[in-house]
This record gives sequence, C-alpha cells and structure tokens, in this order.
Amino acid sequence: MTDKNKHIEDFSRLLEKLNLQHPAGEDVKKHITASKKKQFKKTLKRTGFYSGIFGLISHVFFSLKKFGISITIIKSAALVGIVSLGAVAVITTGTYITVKKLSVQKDLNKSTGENIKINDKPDENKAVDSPTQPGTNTAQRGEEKHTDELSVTIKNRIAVQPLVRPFINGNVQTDVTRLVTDQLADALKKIRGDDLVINVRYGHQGRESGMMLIGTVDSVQCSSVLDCSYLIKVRLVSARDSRIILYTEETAVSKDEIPGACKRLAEKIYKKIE
Amino acid sequence: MFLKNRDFAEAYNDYYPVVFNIVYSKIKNIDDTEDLCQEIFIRFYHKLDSIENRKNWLMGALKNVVKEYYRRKKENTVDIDTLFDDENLGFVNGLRDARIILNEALDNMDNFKDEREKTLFELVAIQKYTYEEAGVELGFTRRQVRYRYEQIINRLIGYLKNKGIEDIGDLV
Repeated sequence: MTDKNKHIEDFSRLLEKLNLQHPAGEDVKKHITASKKKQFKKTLKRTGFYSGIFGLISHVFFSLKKFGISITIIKSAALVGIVSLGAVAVITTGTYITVKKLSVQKDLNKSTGENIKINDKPDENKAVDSPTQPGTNTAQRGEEKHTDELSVTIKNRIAVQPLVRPFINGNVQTDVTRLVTDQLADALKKIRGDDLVINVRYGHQGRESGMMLIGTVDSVQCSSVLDCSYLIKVRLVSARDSRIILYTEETAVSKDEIPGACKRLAEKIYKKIE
Repeated sequence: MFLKNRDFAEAYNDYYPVVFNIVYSKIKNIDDTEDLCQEIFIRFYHKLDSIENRKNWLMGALKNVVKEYYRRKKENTVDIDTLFDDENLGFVNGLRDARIILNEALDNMDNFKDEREKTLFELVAIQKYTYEEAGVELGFTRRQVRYRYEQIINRLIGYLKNKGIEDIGDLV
C-alpha cells in the first residue's frame, strides 16, 4: 500500500474510533442528488427573489454539476445566452427563407397565370383565322378545381379550334369555316357528351382540355361560287406534348352535306380515342 | 439581485448535502428534513451579505431550526437541549484529548484551500460519500475529488505533526 493510501486508511479509522463519522444512508444520498435542483427552485421562490431567467440559468448550473462539470453561475448564464441567441438566429433565418420561398412561388403562379390567356370571343372581323399553335394551351387556369376525377375529364376533353381555310390558295368563305367548326363540335358532343367537348369559337368557359382538334376547310371542285365540294382535314393533337393522335379528312359534296361529313369525322375521332 | 442569487446558488450546491444529512440524522424524516432545509437556506439567503463563515453560520442555523422543530412537535422522546451536545463529553482521557485535537485540526481553515474543500472533506471523511458521489454533489470528477482529499489529509497530518503527533496512530 502506498503512503498516500495508508494515510487515508489511518485517518478514516481514526475518525471512526473518535465517533466523528456520520455515514449518510445510500437512499438519502440518492434523494439529495435527485432533489437538489428542485429544492433550490422551491427555496428561492420562497425568498421572493426567483425569476424565470435565473431559474433557467440555475437549471443549467445544477444539471452540469451532476456530470462533474465544474461550472459557475456566470458561465451557465453565458451558455444560456449563447444558446438563446443561436435559437433566435435559427428561427429568424428559417422564417425568412420560408417567407421568401412562398413569395417566389406566388410570383411564379401569378406570372404563369398571366401567360396563359383565353380568347373568349372569336374575332368576327378577321378574314383568316390563324390556327392555334398546339401546345399553347387555351385553358384558363384556376377556374376548375382539380380532383382526380376532373383530371381524367380534362385529359379526355377535346377543344375544337376554329377551322380555317388553307394559308395557300385557300378560298373558302368564313361562314363555311365557322359552319364546319360548329357542326364538328356538335357532332362530337352528341357522341361524347357536352362536358368532353369545347367549341373554342365560344370560349373555353373556364374548362381545360387534354386534346385539341385543329384543321382546315378547302373548297374543291366548285361548279359555281355557291356550289362547291369541301375537303375537311383535321388533326387531333395532344395539348400536353403536341403529339398527333389522329390525322384524318372527309369530303362534303356540298354545303348541305357538311353536317354529314362532320358526323363521319366525329365518328372517326371517337373510334380512335375511345 | 443576480449576484446575490449567484452566490446563493453556488453555496446551496455545496452545502445542501451536508446540511440535509445532518438534519436527517437528527429527525429521520425525509419530507420534514426538506422543509427544515428550506427554512435554513431561506434564513441563509436573507443573511448572505453579512455572513463571514458560511459553514459555521449554517451549522448554527441548522441547530436552531431543528430545536424549533422539536419544540413545535412537543416531542417528548427527544431531549432537545442535548440534541447537539458536544460528544467529547462522552469520551474520557486520551480519546477525549484526541478528539479535541482533531476537531481543532478540522476547524483550522489553513488545512483547507477553501470552503469547498472543507465541504468535500465533510462529505468524504465524515458522511462517507465515495469520491464519485462527492464529485456529483460538488461538480468535480472522481479523480479531482480523490486528489483534493489526499491533499487535505496530507495537510492535516502535517498540522498534527506540528502539534507533536508524529503518527496519527498515536491518537488512538
């Protein structure tokens, strides 16, 4: 045994012999350790000089002491201050980032909405109706509330764009192109239902479509100005990716036969997509 | 107020185990001990600025509070007046002298670096805390407690040698 240990042993025996030792019970020691922090808080409250901040500082102080960390109240206060500042910084930064993200998203939605315009009324004075570019979706966003069911409806809906005469040597009257457009749209509505067809001549009425029907009407074999056959060519195009779903045509031997031709076209379209 | 609370918290941390154990040894009831300790330390708080020797003051307050407790209880089985009597009276001749000498050594603050070391000694030597347990109470590691305790014992032995006691075994 080293000298050091011998001295400690001897001293302990001496204290015991002289009845100077008063060992604390194990359960008492445990109770003291467990209750010290709580008892301090109670005692200080009873003095009338307790505050929330000091309560927090003393909580840190007593907790760290338990782990054998030699800390003072001043250092505990500094620790609490640093952690609080850190927490404030994190919250402030988080709030700033969130608000900025929301604001950017809002601007994005607003500008996207502005870019998608609806032509509610067809231009009656226009001699040539220019075809609508596939892919420029003529839907008005935000008017239909999107659900899964509605998404399916939108996907299957056809927007019948106003048919036009061919750019080159086209000589069909505007009233004929309008007639073909209307008859085609009506024929499709009869087969598919009103909800799945939009006649864009009268606007989208706040509805979106997954497909567009565009085409031309050309007069062929005119025996007179008032008596022509009409070649109706149509393309059914995906609004999402401009993919051509169907390309077909029909001939109406006269103006009176246009409804019949449109009916046949509608049936072809129906057969393709249903 | 912050500075006073600071001093109070640090003193409370050091002295609470010692005070609690002594009070408990006299009344043997945990809940009552907690109440009495609160009373002792509330008085301690209000007198804090004027106290020179905190340990001695707390021991004095402890005795008064415990005696008041028994008077309130009108406890007949306990002789209140002799509750804290000097146990030296129970020893005779050599042992009494040895006790007196040792008490002197323990009361002499030159044998301790500071009040905290005295509390450390009280916990380890008198109340038989392990180094680890004392470390938990005082915010030291086990090694730090052991080192400081060894230093205290060396100083006490040095003090006793100065008194002519070459071997502490002579005291018994």
